Amino acid sequence: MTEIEHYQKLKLELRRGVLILAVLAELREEHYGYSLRKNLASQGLEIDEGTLYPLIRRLEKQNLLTSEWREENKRKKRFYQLSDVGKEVLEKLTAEWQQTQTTLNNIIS
Amino acid sequence: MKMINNYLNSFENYLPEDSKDEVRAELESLIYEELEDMQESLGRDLSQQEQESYLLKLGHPMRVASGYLPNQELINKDYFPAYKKALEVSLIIFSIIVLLTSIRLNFEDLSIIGFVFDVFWRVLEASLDVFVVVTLIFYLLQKSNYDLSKLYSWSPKDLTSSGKKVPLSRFNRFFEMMFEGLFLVFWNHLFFSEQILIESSFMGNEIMQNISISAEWQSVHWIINFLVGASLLLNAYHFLKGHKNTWSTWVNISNNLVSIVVLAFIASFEQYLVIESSELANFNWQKIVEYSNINILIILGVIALVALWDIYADVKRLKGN
Repeated sequence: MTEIEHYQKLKLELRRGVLILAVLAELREEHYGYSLRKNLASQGLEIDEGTLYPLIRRLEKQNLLTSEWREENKRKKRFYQLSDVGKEVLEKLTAEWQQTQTTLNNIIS
Repeated sequence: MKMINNYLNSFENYLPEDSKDEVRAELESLIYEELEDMQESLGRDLSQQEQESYLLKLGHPMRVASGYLPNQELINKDYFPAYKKALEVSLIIFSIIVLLTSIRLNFEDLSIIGFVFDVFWRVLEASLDVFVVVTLIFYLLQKSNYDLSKLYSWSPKDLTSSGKKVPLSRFNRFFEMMFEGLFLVFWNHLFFSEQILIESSFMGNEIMQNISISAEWQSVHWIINFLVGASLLLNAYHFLKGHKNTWSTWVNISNNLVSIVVLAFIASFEQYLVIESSELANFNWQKIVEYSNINILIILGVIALVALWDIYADVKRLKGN
């Protein structure tokens, strides 16, 4: 593996860790899959469909999200939002993230 | 958008049964949402090439489906769909090779049951070897981080419209395969045994009776092998896929039609069994032959009715599509 390939692989692993937190935070407001992806991309977090959509499904299976199918503009869409359990988990993860960020900043500096 | 539909049909094939419909509906909604967005920003419909580029960027349907699979222990979900496909194809090929190479055993001095057991263990042994080798290959590919884009190299144009799929019971298919396999063994044993010897007792005396099939059966020996063999292969395909599609339904209909013609030809035979009585010369063996003929005709009639019913069900299904 070349140096660039190593870097890309590690970058991907780093992003994977923050992806769940980003998705949970974004779903404090209701979104359907595509609008969620667009919103995250507009804030600088590009995620490909193959990663995001299975992730949302997994979070729903873990009862962190609720969803419902609705028809909009003659098309059926699945809307997701944080569940009560999801809100609790988000709060704890956010605190954990802030702690980790402080620790890491200390180590790097 | 035929290419998109073919993509979604292919994607659906790699999903687990319980979530197939839901996940497909979700991805379909998302894909069309994105395409509409792109069309809106361009102010026109997307060309075939643009649709193709979009699908290429999305990824091979197998690979996208792998994201929806639970993580596996030995082969992770990125490699699992390709591993599963490789395993399916290898198992079929090697099972057929073992079955074909075992045919010569039928000519050795083995009873039918002995032959069946021998073939069963050979197929099982070959299947275990194939499983180990394919799993090892994919485990090593995974360990070496083999480039997934090479594993899943594809083009959206190569995806075909596979038509509406009809789910089938795998248990029924397996049962039919076993029945057809045993029939083939029994059928060929009849031709390569000189005669069927039947032990019976009459008034306390043990007698041996030579019964053989008439020479007329020779004319249908290989066509029946072909028809039952084709049905066995088709059932194996349905067993693996878990569904029927348009082309496999047509193959089934053709097989049944030819079977009915062959059954009608068999019904025209003058003689089915030849009984040579070696003892009890005054016993009315002719009556036994007549009863046997009637029973054989009844069996032929039942098989023909089943084939007709199968044709009717398949045609109805095709019309419904």
